[in-house]
Amino acid sequence: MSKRAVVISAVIIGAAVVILAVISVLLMSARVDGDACIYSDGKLLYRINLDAVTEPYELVIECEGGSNTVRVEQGRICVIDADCPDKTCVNSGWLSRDIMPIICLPHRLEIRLEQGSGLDGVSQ
Amino acid sequence: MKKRIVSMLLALSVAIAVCTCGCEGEKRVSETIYVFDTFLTLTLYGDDTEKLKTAIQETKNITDSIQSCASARDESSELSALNKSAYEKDIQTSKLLYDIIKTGLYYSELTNGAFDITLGYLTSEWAIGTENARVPSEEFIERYSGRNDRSAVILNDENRTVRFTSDTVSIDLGGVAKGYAAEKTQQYLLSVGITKAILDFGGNIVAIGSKSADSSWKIGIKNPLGGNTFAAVSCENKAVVTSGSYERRSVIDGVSYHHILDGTTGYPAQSGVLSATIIADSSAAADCLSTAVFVLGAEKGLELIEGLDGVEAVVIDDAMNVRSTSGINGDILEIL
Repeated sequence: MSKRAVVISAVIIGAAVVILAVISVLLMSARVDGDACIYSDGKLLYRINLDAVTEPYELVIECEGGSNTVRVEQGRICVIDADCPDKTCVNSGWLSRDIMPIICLPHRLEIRLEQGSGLDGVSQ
Repeated sequence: MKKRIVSMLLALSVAIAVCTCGCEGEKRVSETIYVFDTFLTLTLYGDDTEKLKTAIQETKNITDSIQSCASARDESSELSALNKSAYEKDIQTSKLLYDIIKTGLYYSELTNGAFDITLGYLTSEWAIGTENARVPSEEFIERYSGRNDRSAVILNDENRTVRFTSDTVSIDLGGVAKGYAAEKTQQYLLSVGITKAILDFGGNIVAIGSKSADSSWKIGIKNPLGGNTFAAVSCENKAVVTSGSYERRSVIDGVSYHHILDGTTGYPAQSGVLSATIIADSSAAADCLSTAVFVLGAEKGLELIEGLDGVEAVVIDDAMNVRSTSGINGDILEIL
């Protein structure tokens, strides 16, 4: 291998590492710390360790007034659909550490961050 | 030379792909529905998302059918019709309702009435947790308490008929229906090959399978005084059900009452227990027995559970002392 080829390879690898690092930092900054807790009418329905999510999934949460569809991805969570009149919950976007909890007042739904418990369910 | 660079870039691409994809294969589908006046959250795991979604739909059908036949509050339910007409008359019932009543009576007998499905008149008169909550009159309490009416419910397996031999009997399946529904759901899921799931029937938990090959599910026990969870139970293929005085309450004339009635007094149980948790293979058993232990109190309740194979109990009393059956050890119960 010529000296030039070695240099080019090193530059490409170095650039790839830098790009990966930048992408990681950007992704991490959009992620939340702790568990995402979903409450309906004050009752805890879900406690989700967002870091442990391997495959994105959706939760359909029905209440007497209608339903909200919640999208869960690794490190983040949002409401993607709801049949409430104002759609404030949907327009709140992804829950991140910098913003307020996601709240759907008409359906009395709240998604907020809490310190992780490591529990899979709560008997009550 | 170019080949070498291309090879190196390809290797780098593969490395990046592995890093960003992480582990895959196991899918998770979760849904919350409103049944039995509470929220049911089903979280199923498997490798086929469509199969999991179909299973959740079928689970809804199971719980809907149980609610529509076994709700004492729903005037149009099969149980309500039975309660109105079964005094001194054999009434034929659906297979489902008959089976739930039979299950409830079995645990009423096993607990010598500490769990009692025949207190319907008392529970509807108290109506704790509803806007109609009230303290029944002394005459009412006297008429409907201390009766041990389980023997006044006559079942006939052949014809699936139910008859009451006392006009003080009204069946309320609120203490068994959720547990029964969770157990039927568990049986259905296992029958279609779903072997990993967490079913949360309004706080009645069924942990199917294990969390992973080397770790159990970890189920919290709610702190009866409020706030965070008080303890956690490690389990696999178990139902974990808690009865607590914090669950459903009503304030009447400035006094706060909980909803678990003691059939011997006709009033909410005053046993010194804040919460009773049962860990068992059967969710229906755990549901009935948690109520029985709450009513009996820590000492008698734990004595009852010690005598049952494969059933364990954790009791928190009003001084926040934790007592448990002999099968509970530090590997199973963790105080948080």
